[in-house]
Amino acid sequence: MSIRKKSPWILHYNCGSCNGCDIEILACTGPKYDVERFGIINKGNPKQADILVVTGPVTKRTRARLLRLYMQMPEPKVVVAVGACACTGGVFRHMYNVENGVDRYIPVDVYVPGCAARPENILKGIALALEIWEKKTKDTIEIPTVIKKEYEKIVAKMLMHGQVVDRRKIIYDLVSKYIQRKLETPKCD
Amino acid sequence: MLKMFIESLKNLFSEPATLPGFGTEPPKGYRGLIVYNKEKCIFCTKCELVCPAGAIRFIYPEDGSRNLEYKYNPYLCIYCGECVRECPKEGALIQTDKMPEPATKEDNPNETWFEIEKLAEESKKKWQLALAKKRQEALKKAQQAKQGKKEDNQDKKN
Amino acid sequence: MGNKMIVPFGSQHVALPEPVRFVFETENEIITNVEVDVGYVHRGIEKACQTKIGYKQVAYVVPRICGLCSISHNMAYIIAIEKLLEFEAPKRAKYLRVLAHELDRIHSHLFAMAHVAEAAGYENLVMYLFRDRELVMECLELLTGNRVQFDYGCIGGVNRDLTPEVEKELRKKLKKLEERLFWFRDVYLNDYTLNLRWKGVGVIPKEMAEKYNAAGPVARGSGVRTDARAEFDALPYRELGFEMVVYEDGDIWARNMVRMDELLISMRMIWNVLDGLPEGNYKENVKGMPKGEAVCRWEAPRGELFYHVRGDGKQILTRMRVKTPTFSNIPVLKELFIGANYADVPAIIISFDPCLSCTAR
Repeated sequence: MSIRKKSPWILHYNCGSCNGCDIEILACTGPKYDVERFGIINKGNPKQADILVVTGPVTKRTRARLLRLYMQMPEPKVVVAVGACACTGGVFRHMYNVENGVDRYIPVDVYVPGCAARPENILKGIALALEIWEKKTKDTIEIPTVIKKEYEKIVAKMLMHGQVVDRRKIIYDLVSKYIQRKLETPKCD
Repeated sequence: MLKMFIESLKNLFSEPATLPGFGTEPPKGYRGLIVYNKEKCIFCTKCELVCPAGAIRFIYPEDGSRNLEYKYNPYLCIYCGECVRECPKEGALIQTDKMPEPATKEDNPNETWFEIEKLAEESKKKWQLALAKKRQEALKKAQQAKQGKKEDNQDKKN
Repeated sequence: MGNKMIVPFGSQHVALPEPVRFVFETENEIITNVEVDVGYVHRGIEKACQTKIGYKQVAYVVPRICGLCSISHNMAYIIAIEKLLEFEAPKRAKYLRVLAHELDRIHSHLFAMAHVAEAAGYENLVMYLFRDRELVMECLELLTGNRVQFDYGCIGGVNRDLTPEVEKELRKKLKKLEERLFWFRDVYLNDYTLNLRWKGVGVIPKEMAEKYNAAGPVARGSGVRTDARAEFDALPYRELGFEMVVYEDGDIWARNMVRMDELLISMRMIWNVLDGLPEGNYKENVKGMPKGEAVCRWEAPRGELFYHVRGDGKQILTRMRVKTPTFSNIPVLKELFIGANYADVPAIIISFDPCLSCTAR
């Protein structure tokens, strides 16, 4: 899983901004602040992306498209809001076609301030987002590693006694027991 | 095509153009965060009227005095420098050249600012009512003092 | 009979950094009909400037309509208000305004040329252009304080002065930049693969450009002689050595060459400003309230920009109207698509240099 941390891929969407912060994101991929040496590529495909980078105050026409993009991304995922407009609405706060800030619609993990945000600040924000993302992956990967050990123990026992092994049934029983246990014990947040 | 090939060969042997990833600072004269000194402020609220984005708000006290509280949101500010130019006292508001820091989910800059906006408006209305009452009482006292003096003078004459 | 297909070029695309939507109807890979959808970026700025924001603060809200031509909006609004108040800025302030504006034109044209080269698949050239664009951004940061969105002009002059240390640094960096610009001009004129990709693609004949009122490098690449800097006298362009650049071909190659030559003329104007900067104040106090009507025409990097302002003697204006250059270029775009190959579509859109956040403010 450390392979994924070494090269996260980015999806970038502009929700109605003035293009200032978008130019700084493109300048990040230029030679002076080189972000491709960390393994980050700007691909336009939501099914292959790990980090969603949003700019601009959300206008009423783009909020439906933003939600569809967010739901098409696979778990675990992180959202970074770049610029003063994406954090709280910026200069356009309380204008008639603007929702104030991205976090009225999507849970946001990192806020990067500035008008326009500097490329060094954007790099700091992405580094923070990568640490949060590591914590999230540990929560979702627990299931396979824990179940794998129990499965190997059971299969070894059955082979020693000479019984017929039905692998699918064993995995199905283990997973359903694990999920029921997780649902019953309350999580202390 | 030959030109580009020669240029690529030249770039192999010259120094790189990338900066190190973290740790570089912006140059002198950069328009950065705004810093407030409470001792020099005279509470005229000109900075609140001039800000185009509304990033500075004052919370008014309940007793009608002039002791306001200053609130600033670095995630809403556009760093134009108008408040520093309008301030009549030198040294109360300064623009430094440091970049603002990114924040995470726990700081929650948007929700808290909505609550502060509501508080500021309500407290301003209550403060104006309290100030109007104070002025009426002061007027009454002044009138009573005048009438008291007139009676004293008439008594002395008589 | 061929295969009819409907292809959407949706609002999220990796080639364009802005949301715009086209719906193409193609038959055997040739386009027959187009539907254009602009308006994802509408924020309601004109209404807010008429009800909530005073006329002095509007000068800081208006450059955030667009991030690439931000200083053009700033200067055009300030000149329109100065006409209403009957005030003329001091001479040093006028020269400094020209300096900031021409530096902005250089970095905007370099960005547009890099984007067209990326659509042609030439990534090496993109990286070279971005490296040399960083020199211009450093100059702007020393002069105004920020890389993008410089709040430089204000009613009565400019906000900051040009000190002697900053002038030394500017001269060093601009000298390096000029050598690189001549090298780029050679590449664009003589490179074999770029000529194959761009000559004869997306041709706009002269009659179509005149009939639909195109503006900016799109019109000047087809032989129409129109430029707001030669016709109006808001800033001292003629005494600084301005010339108009016109090419006759009308394809993508001609539009690139127009932008390239405009860069060299801007460099010459900047050297003239730095050598002959007059003494005096850079800012003065202005009295009075705006009353009446005024109009300003200005040349942004993408075409002609138009501002109309009306005031009534109070702090808040009664009417403000903006006409942006990309708004005049969109009917030409629609006519150009019909009959073209579907694979040429990204190259044609990017060669127009669209700035869609200006179009629907």
